[in-house]
Amino acid sequence: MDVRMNERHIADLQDVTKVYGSGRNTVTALRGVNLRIDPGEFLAVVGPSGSGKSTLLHILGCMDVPTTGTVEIDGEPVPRENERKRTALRGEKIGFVFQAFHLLNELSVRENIELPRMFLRRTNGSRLLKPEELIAKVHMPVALLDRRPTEISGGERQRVAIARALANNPSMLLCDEPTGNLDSANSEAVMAIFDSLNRAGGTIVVVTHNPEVASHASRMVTLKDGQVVEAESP
Amino acid sequence: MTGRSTLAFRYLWRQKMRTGFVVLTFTAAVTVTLLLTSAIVGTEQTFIGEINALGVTWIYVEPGTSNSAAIYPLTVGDAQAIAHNVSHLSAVAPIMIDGLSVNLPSWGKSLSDITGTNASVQTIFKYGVSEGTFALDWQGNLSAPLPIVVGYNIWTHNDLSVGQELPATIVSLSASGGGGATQVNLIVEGLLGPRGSLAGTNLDDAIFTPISALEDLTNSISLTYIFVSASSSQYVSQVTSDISTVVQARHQGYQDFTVLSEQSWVSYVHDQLAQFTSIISLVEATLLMLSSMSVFVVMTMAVKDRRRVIGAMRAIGAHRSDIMGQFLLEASLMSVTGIGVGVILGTVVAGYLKANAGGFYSYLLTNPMDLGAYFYELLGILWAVGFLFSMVPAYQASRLEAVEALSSL
Repeated sequence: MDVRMNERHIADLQDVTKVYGSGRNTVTALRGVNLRIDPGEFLAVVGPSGSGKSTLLHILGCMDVPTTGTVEIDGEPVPRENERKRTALRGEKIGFVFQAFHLLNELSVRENIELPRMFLRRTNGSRLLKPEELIAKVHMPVALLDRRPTEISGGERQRVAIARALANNPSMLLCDEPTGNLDSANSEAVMAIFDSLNRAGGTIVVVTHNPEVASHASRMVTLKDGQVVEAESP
Repeated sequence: MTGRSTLAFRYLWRQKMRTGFVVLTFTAAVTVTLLLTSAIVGTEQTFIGEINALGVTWIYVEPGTSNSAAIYPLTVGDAQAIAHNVSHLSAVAPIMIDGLSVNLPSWGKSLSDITGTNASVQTIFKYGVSEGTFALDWQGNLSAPLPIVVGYNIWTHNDLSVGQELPATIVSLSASGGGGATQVNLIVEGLLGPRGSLAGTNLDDAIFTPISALEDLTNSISLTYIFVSASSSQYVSQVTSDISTVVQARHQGYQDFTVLSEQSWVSYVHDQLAQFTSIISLVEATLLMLSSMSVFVVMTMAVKDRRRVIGAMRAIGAHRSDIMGQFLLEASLMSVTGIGVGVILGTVVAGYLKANAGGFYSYLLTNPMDLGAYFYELLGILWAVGFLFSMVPAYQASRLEAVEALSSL
């Protein structure tokens, strides 16, 4: 018997396959992927373009569902048909950080950070941090809270996006090329934030092409043609 | 905490032109509809109220019919024939309102629309003199003073008294009058008590003079209408029929005049207003369609512009209902703002017209609440239509998948 069966995983993908299209136009993005992510893990998902990294991230983030196989997030099965529950799971347990930040320029930094809470139907019971506390976590001055995203630098925007991702106290941060739009200094700063969040017990999954970014992870998974071809601890 | 309304206001503010366009269409729809409706409802309430106040025994005769002009003019002779040959009458008042300009140097102003009539008009219009008499005795000689009976507003504003003589130059503006000027001395014979408005005419602004004098001054025998009062409501039908017979005989058998009783007058007014109501409904429907299309087009453009924002919001936990609610809120804010501005503008314009334009505009209702249920129905329908037409784009926004929306260019 696998002793890990009784352990709680932040994410558990079993034999996940994802096929897009139908008939002759089918594209298989993931083929029988098995992946478990433990609490406090810092996982890097690497691989060439078209290997299925983004599809894996979308399925982990409940933004997409597998064609076959099962997904559990923080012990809760992700329903294939129930979109409302998937959205609720995403809002409660997942924090997203995108390459393009995707902040709302009409809102202030403070309002952007608070935005995910507007959609929250329930919390996981823990106290939600104030914007001032969240901004401190990403090493930014509180004075920036009242600025608009258009009034701060790219590196600062990505840090605000990380603070927003942390707003609902998620079980896992999913980061899609988080340093893709940043220079090296800002990339280092952002990765330093991920390191400190991970040291504090946070679970982080980073999809990246960048070996420098991947080197921060405690485990690296390589995808090729939709399959996990290599899993290693760097 | 960030609110949906904050987000909605910011997006609406960012797209000022689009927002302004939608608000403007709703404002126009409400303003125009309110003005037209308050005119119709106000006219119906006031006009018919004034007619009803005259009682149910009066009968009105006017030259021409709804289909043709008069062949023979309505004359004082017709009025006298009615008085002599029709039974059960209490009063017959021939009325002549011709285009006379009366220049009064002592007042420093001109008056128009002097009404030629006789004393029976008091019985029919239900008012009378507070000082002097309404005898309107005239010698048939324009060199003698011309008696006038003056409406309440005229004599109170000009400090007139009974017996006062006023030198005047009278110019007939009608074709028959030839535009000649006549120097006369007006003499105040009677001062009328306050009466108010009747069918669009403020009787307190009226000046009455003997009808024969007006005939001489205007060189015309055409009456504007004849008012008759039956002695009792039970005779109205018979009197109406008899008037038709008498006048038709005098007009060589031609039915080239119209006889209306109070009841048929009210029906006539209702019919006329119903025609207006149909036109107004068409205008309202057009404005409603414009408002609906404006909110539909603007919200569709907003959804197209904000696909990545929608994707980001979905990614950070927004439910489909959150996205839909956001767009519906924005549409509602625009429509409600437009409706609110329209109500204020409609009320202000109605008040201004009523206070300054006079005439027909005096019937305008200046308080939208006076429209009763119609007012709330109008606002409800406008808001509901705006809401319904924004549902399609809002629904489309809510159906966007996060992954698909985030990958939008």
